[in-house]
Amino acid sequence: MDEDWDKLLDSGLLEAPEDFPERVMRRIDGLPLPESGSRSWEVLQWLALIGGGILGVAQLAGFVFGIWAAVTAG
Amino acid sequence: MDIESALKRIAAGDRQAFADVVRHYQRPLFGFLGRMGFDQSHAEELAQETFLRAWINLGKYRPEVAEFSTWLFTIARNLAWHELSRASTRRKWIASEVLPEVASERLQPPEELVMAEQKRRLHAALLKLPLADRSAVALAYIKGWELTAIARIEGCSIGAVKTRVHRAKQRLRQLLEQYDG
Repeated sequence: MDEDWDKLLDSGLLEAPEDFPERVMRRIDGLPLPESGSRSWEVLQWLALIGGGILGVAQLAGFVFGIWAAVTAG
Repeated sequence: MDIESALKRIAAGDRQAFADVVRHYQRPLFGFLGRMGFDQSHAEELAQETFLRAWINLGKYRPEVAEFSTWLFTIARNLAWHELSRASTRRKWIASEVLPEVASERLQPPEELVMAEQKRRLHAALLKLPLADRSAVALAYIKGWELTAIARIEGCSIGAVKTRVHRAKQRLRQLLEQYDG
């Protein structure tokens, strides 16, 4: 592409108005602070993982106990 | 700009830290929206909406998953696509392809007139590109960006981004040559 067109494309064709950040902040002022739900979500994920792990171990223990019970009964 | 410290300040309740974020990203964002074919007023609306959504969803941003700029421009890109895909808007864009001649109410220096005319032609040519190609080329012109970030935003491979950008530039060249000729 011609260098002039390339430069024009690079310039982006539009400019932000000078008071753009103020305009955005005026709209944001009416909104609550963003929720940082990340921590509680992370805790939930860990709890689910630990819970699943415990269930898995319990299943395995039950299976082993079943085999042991069957062998010793026989 | 240290985006991490700005995000920490916001988390601590400092709303004004977000103004720094806006100031930092407004220029590339308007550039992107301009290359997507929006006019000034539409771009302002969409840029405001982008920052507003970023503010609302800031808690969902994961620095370990993507850079903040990638996350922010994903919001902008999705909003832009949504806007351009809406049937009514599409009609509006098609209508605006026949752009008004450069305003002649006030006397402009010849260089300004030439520049305005070139912008008008480029805008019209951009509107003729398929959305996927336009979006890729609009992102590719953001300074300092790597293809991986564009591929993540576009949801495609790096190879596909390269192809789209190449195709878009080729098509633009053809269209602009037609105008010149």
